[in-house]
Amino acid sequence: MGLGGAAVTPTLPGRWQTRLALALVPGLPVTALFALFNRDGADALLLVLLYVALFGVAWDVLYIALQKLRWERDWPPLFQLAGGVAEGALLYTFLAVTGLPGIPGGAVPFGLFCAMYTTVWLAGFAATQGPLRAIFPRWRFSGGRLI
Amino acid sequence: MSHHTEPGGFVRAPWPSPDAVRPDLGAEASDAVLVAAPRLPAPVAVRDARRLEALIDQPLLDERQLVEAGIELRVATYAALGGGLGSFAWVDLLRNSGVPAEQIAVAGSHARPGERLELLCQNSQISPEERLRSNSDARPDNLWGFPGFGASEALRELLHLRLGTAARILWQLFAEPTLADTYTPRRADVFAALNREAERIGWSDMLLQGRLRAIRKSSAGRLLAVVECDGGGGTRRVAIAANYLHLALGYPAVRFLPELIAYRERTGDRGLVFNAYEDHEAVYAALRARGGVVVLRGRGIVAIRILQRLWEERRHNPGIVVVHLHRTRLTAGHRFGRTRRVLEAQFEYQPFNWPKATWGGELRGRLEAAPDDERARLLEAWGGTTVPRRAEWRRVVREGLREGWYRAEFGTVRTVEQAPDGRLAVQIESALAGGGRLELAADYLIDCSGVEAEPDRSLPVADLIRTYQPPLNALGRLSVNDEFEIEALRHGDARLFAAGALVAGGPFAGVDSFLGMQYAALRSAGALLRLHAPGLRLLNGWYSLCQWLKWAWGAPP
Repeated sequence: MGLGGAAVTPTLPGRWQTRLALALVPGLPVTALFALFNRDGADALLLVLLYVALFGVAWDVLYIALQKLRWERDWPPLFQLAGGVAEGALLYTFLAVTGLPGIPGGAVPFGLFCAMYTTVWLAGFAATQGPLRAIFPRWRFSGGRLI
Repeated sequence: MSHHTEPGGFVRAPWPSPDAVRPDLGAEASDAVLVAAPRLPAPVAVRDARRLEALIDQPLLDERQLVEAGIELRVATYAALGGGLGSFAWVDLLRNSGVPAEQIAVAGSHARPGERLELLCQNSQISPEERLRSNSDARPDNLWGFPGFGASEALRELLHLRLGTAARILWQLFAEPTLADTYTPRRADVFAALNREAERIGWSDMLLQGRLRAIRKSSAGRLLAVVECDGGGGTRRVAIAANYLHLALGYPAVRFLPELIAYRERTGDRGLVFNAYEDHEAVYAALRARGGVVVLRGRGIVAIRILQRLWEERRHNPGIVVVHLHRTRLTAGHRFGRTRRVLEAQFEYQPFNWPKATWGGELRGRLEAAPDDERARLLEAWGGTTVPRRAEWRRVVREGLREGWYRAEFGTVRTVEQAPDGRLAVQIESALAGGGRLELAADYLIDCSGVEAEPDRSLPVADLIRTYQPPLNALGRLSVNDEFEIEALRHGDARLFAAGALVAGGPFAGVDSFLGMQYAALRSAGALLRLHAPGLRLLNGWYSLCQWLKWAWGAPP
């Protein structure tokens, strides 16, 4: 989701924690809603969410390396968006071309993937822009770590 | 609440006296609002100042003796000394973490927490409509930083159907600092929000207006702050006894370079040479009328704001010329690791005083983990004098250089004299290759090299250092642990915390920023929670959300 970087100046543990937490909330309920209306592909959608989180753990290592090239060591929302688009594109390429364990190639339609991925991403982005800070006032000082 | 007069002619602030405080406190009083004071005989006004001084000068004070000497004793659980933004951040966190206002005392010179900063803003040409060098999320009135000033301003613009401005602000927030100039809040918005929050948490009820004279350990196992209050026909002293003190006095003085002090002392002149933080409005009026040459010193944000103001005055009188005097010529920006700061026209660009990650990211952790001397080295690499990149300022500098009314010189001032024609004769030793001297005839000299942060420039801090010898850090400021405590002042269960400029060079870089003071408050609250400080709850999770909702609604915490 590229959202680990939402704590403007994230660290690697902070990125991972925020990413996994956002995959659970709001990621899981949002995905569950999509699954509810796509009963046939419900398992695949939940697996997609899992892969989003797993791929993201690796993406975060790349993001942190890039962040070290910035004087401010920050990660503007613009970069979050770019990361989110890149992550979605790569994941869909895998889903469409080779498939992933538990999801055969081409099993998730492009439109459904886009709708679900975008909604999950936007819900997570919205959470980091406010509600998360109101619940965890120390989050922004700890590079995105929640514990 | 009205003030009333005490026997002995003292004007009392609305504050319970130790004897009047909760006389019914029983065994359950350990967690109580105010620790019960010993039963004391009625104060006798003693006017022998020397005896008082001798009494206060001891490192361990007897509260009973203080009262007998005519010093009013007030008892609180928490006391914030300074009364500015550092105190406010701490008190605001305590109030939002469940501590009632009756348990907190604040001592400070000003009625409002932002008063001194606002005066410094005014003098250094940041009018209410101008913007501070601060982040959208750094809200002194809102420790969660949500919604940021940027979002609030964008929403307001949207409601007034100024769609272009709203879109510009949102784009700044989204793309800063890479594709857009960093968003910064308007001065008026910041101080209005601050005043609103001060009212919400009951600041004026907690405040004792006065100057801090000394901090002492008391034989009752507390820490004492001796405060001098003017009014009511003289100075009266009040001692605040508290378990947890917080010291945030800010910058003790505006910095004045030695040759400028020498000039002022020699000539007695107060009209041609200024520190930018002093009131110097008359300079702009005179320049508008007659034009003239202004020498600017310092390459930070204050200098560039004053340059902008001079540029504005040039519309009325194009006879204004600015010579910007730098000590050295920069050829490249600061370096750290594989990154480098951008340098343009002798200004180094950085959105804030420190790289952003020193507030909450990789660099914050790195500084905290570093030993003292390494901290000094890191701060040197990340700090220095910088300005945020703002399109309007770059335009001013570009125009000035192109049109020839603005130029840079490099060197140190040797002497400043008043010439027979009443103008300034400034002699400069060139710092460029080959050296040499340069003589400038100028009408005004405005020194923008900043404010003093040496602790011994503040009387109570110098006194604290003399009395208890707390260790100083590599920058010569008060040394604090990672929770902003001055450990040398531990006294039984009593603790002294510090924040702001006094503790620069410690575990955190931006100590004097809005966000830095909130960070310091959160860390010291962590220490207080471990000590089971009365009334204090962990501000996190559901409780934090509830407190935020109260903030949003404007209800008392």
